[in-house]
Amino acid sequence: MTQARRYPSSRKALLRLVLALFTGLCLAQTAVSAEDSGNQGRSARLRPNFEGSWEKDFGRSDKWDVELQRTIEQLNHEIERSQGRGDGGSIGLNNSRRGAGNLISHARLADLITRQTTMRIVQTDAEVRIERPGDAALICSTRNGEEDSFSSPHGKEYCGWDRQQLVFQISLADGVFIEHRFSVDPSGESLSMLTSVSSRNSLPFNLISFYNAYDALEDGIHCVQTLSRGRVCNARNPEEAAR
Amino acid sequence: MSVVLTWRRSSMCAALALLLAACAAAPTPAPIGPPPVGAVSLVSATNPLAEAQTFDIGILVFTSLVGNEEITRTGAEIFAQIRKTETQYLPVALRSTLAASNQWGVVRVLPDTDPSLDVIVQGTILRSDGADLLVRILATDSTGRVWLNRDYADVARVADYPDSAPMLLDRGLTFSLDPFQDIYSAIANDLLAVRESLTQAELDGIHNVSQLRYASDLSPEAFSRYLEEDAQGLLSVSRLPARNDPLMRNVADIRARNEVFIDTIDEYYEALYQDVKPIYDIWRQYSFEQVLEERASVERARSGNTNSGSFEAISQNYNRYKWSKIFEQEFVALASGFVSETAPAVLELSRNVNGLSGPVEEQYAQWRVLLRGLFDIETEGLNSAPRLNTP
Repeated sequence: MTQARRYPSSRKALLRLVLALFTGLCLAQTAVSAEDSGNQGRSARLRPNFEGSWEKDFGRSDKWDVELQRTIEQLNHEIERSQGRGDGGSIGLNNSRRGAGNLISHARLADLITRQTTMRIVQTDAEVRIERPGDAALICSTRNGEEDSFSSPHGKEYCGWDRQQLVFQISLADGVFIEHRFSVDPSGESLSMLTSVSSRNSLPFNLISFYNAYDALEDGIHCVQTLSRGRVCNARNPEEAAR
Repeated sequence: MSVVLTWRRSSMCAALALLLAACAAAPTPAPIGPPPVGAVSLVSATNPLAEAQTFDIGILVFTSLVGNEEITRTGAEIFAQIRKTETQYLPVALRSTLAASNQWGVVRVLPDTDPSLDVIVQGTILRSDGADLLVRILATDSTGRVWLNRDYADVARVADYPDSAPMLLDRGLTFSLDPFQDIYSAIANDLLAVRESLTQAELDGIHNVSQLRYASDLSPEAFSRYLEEDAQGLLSVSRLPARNDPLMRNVADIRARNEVFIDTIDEYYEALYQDVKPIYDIWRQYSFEQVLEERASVERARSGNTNSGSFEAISQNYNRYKWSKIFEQEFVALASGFVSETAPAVLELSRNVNGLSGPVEEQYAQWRVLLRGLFDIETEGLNSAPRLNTP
């Protein structure tokens, strides 16, 4: 069997893998779509409550290098299987190498953007604001409907609700696509964030981070942003702080 | 469109990302409008003007067309507040320039038009972001003649703002010169050029029409007959009341009271200006810096990078995105700071004046009604048909 015949088949195998992944995702999301469309107009009060201070649970969270290794092994396994069937090809191998290269970059980016060990989430009837140290806050309305929550020459961010999940999609100017999907445990004690990084020529790299609720110290300090004096803070009385 | 992330959207994400990348690379459109006014020296008079040339000018609170592009932006309501403050702030800057030129009579800022004034200036803010100011100015005299109807643009330079970080400035320190002073000087000079192009008869005509328009506003049945409108809609005096007409003496009394009132209103706008100026100067510099940053961002995005798939390249792109977002969020927070700091001054403007209530615009309307009532009381018993005196 010549290389020229083997590699196109390998590309097909890779495509099948991608299609299988997407199909699974699509079926799940289409089901969600049907259910959620009936829920349009739901009050923002019915949104899950993400409010609170959260610290990363390293024991349960994915480790990017382990996850990367697992994904690459899975990819290799698929390629070997397709080669075993005799449908591999040189273009496919090159693609998979390039895809693996992007995968490594994406895995490292996923690690980079999920390094925060704590998060603070403020939720009102109107919006959810996720504050992450060292990164911009993720802000989304509690209303139904997709929102263009931020746009700059470097990228665009959309957010919205997928049933009980809060989803942020970021399209960077270089074609890299990032998705953060937040879910909170019904007990309100645990929160998960599925971060997916992908681009046109690569498989999505997924990383799940778990967070546990913790009691951040209430400092009783109330701050207001001013222009002339910067951030101005004063002490709140105990009743107000307790509220 | 539902937020539900369907498979179709998932499969289109890569294409969308590419499309967005293409859009992001598009250059920022240049502000639409006339060329900037450039460096303008205010033409001022050293000697007091003759009575016939001293026109009283009313500058109405501006309106704003700015902000359509900001409706969907985060913190849109905060930016709307800032725009509203600007509509009250910029007319005072123009008023100060006209007064400084020493070429006019009394120049006042008003919430609404006033028939006692010789010239009314109306402004619309078309663009204001600290880097560019674009305003549309319509100036008409009491006869209805249009003096100015054009757009003015000015561009701020880095040198127009102080070097110090605005946050560190002491509240007592304010910037001495408005970064857009040239625009006000250009408007003042253009108004002067129009006045100087008029004949003495035309200047006298404007004075007389102002007087009779005011009288007619108080008592249309007694005074409207003195004015006539030509085919172009311009008013002129058909005849003048007698010099010793007692009704005209009453009109003069009421007008004097009206002037005291509109001076008070003008002082409120001046007070707002003084209170807001330190914050507005800082805000405008931040806004200016944000505009520069946005323009630089566009350039950086356009330049791109060579090894687009590497971790270094994509993390660099993510960082650019992240910082542009952090910058935007800080900007919104600062805008919120502007609104909260200027709120007391804005509230002060609308506090009750002389027993009147409501916002300043309503107080002004109430005052006009009150003066008409007063005029009716004072003219009771007088002959409602004044003696005529053909000009």
